[in-house]
Amino acid sequence: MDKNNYKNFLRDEQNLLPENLSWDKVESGIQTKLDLLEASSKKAFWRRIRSFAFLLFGLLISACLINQCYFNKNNSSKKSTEVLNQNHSTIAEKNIQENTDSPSKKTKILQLEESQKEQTSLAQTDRKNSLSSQTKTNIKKKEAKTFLPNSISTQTIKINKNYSTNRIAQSPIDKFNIKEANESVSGISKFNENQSNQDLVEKNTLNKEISNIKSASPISTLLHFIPTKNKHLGLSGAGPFIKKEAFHPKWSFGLSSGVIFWNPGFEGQMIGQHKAQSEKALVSHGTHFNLSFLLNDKWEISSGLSFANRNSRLEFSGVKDTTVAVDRVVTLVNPDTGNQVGQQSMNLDASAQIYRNLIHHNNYQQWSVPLYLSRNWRSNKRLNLKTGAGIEYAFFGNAKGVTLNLLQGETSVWPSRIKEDDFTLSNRVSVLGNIELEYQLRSKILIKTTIQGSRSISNLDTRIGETFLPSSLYLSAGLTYRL
Amino acid sequence: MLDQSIIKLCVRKDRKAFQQCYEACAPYVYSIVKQYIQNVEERKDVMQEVFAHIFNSIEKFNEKKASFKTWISRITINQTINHIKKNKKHSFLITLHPEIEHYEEEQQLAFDQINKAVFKKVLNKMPTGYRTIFLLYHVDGYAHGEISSILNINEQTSRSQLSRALKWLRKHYKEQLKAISYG
Repeated sequence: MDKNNYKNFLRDEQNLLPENLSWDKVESGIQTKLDLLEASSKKAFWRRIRSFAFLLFGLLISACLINQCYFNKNNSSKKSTEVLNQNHSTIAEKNIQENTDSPSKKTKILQLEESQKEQTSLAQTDRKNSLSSQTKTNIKKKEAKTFLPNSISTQTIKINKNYSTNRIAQSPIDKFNIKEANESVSGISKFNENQSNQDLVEKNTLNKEISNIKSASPISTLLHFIPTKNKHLGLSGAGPFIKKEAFHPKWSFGLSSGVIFWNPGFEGQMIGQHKAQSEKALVSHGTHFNLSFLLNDKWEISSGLSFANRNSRLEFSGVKDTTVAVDRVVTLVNPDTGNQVGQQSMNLDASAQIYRNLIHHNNYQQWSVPLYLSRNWRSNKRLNLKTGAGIEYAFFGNAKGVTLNLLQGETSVWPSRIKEDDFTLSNRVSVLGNIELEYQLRSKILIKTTIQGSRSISNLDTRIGETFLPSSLYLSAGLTYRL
Repeated sequence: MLDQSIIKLCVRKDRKAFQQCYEACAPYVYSIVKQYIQNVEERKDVMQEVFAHIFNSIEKFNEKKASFKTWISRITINQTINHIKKNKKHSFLITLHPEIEHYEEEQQLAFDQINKAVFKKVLNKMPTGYRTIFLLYHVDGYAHGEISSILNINEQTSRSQLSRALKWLRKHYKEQLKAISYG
């Protein structure tokens, strides 16, 4: 069946609207529903913006967390490798000392005897105090065992000092050859195997020697062999030569642009209260140029030039009572003759109400110089999160729009600079805080997204009792170039 | 249906233009609404909802995509269906059978032979669910796929419901005719 038949049949008739559906009777209902729809669409818009802001913030936080976790993992693995290297190098050095520094067995024996004498005297003192039943050997064991870890840790510090300060300057590398290094490796295994008291005492003595050698020691040069030792020890990871990342360029400049969500912050007894009800902020836009200087790898100071173009919608409905005075002169004419008989003056006062509905878009432009300090929370090769706080000085403002004059029940247009009116946008200070996420595209070019919140601390309204303290949230994206 | 100039004024939220638009379109909108909604008070409410939506979204109207009449009828049908959905007392599925019923296109009424007055009367008595699907398919020209998405039902359900609606319509139409001839 042709569907149009039904359609024509059911809808071709000239429908007359019932009485209850005339415009007069449905107008208010439609208007109410229309207002609800507009309100809900506005709410939906702000909900979208809010969710977008939350999403952006969530992304920033998650990027930061991921980055932080990655960094920590990397860092801790580096640190553990370094510690391992240091410990093993310490052990290796001791063994090398055993193999190289002790010139002859005789000397070694002499040293051993000396140390035994020392230990014996110590043991005797102890025996006097409390340990009468303990043998000489046991005392030696105890002391050797307790002394050894301390000596290793002390040694580690010293070796590190040597490494960092005298690695090249005082390194008699030529004194050592690969054979010696291999001997040192074999010494490591020896060290692990030999746990006898005698050896411990011997090492104790050697530790003392090492600690006496200090910075002038050729031990530092042995670090050159550590990668080889690591292999033998079954250690993986980087060697001790972990270069700290080079400090990046100090100067950078950036350009960003984005949207501004703002609140005019009108308050007051007269105008402000009414403006707060009738003037609503619209989504606006801004552009920001910044020049940054890195104080160190964490702190950065920035300044630049900001332009903000803020819009608002003024919707005003007002009623004004007015009285119209009418002066009339009535001429009396004789209807029969047509002659003028006389004149009569009449004064009539007519009262009336003037309704004014106004919808207007106001526009506030502001040029300002921000100055803020930022903290770099993470800086690896790609991602960097910054948080900052500072102040902003507005040096020039311009506005166009309509202002309310409630005393006269009217509005007046001010097309020129706002400073000629009752409030001014220039010479004002705001506080600001921002979160910025940078991603390095190239070696010198970075893209960035910024969330910046600001609040004016200077009242922009010069009238007594009136307040105009705009606050804004600026979401932007842009580029940074490192010089 | 409506001058482009009035539409432009409506976009600017001009009250007079709203009135002109309403007066021009309301009869057509009402002809759609009254077929879907039987309650007179509900019709008024739906009419207001439809025009509120029209005025709110008139800036989105694109004459290149569809005529104003088509655009209005779409909004009307959507709002009417939404209104029916809101009223929980109506159910689109009058009887629920798990099996898919077989239906035939020949079950439809022979249009040329029907008594239009009787048909309208029977249509007004038709259960809301049947009537909605019948109107959507046979009057407003929606396909089963579209109906299923509008009413949030299965496409096969839409087909079976339409089949049942036609059965119901034929049965009651015949009964009504008998009643008239004997009466």
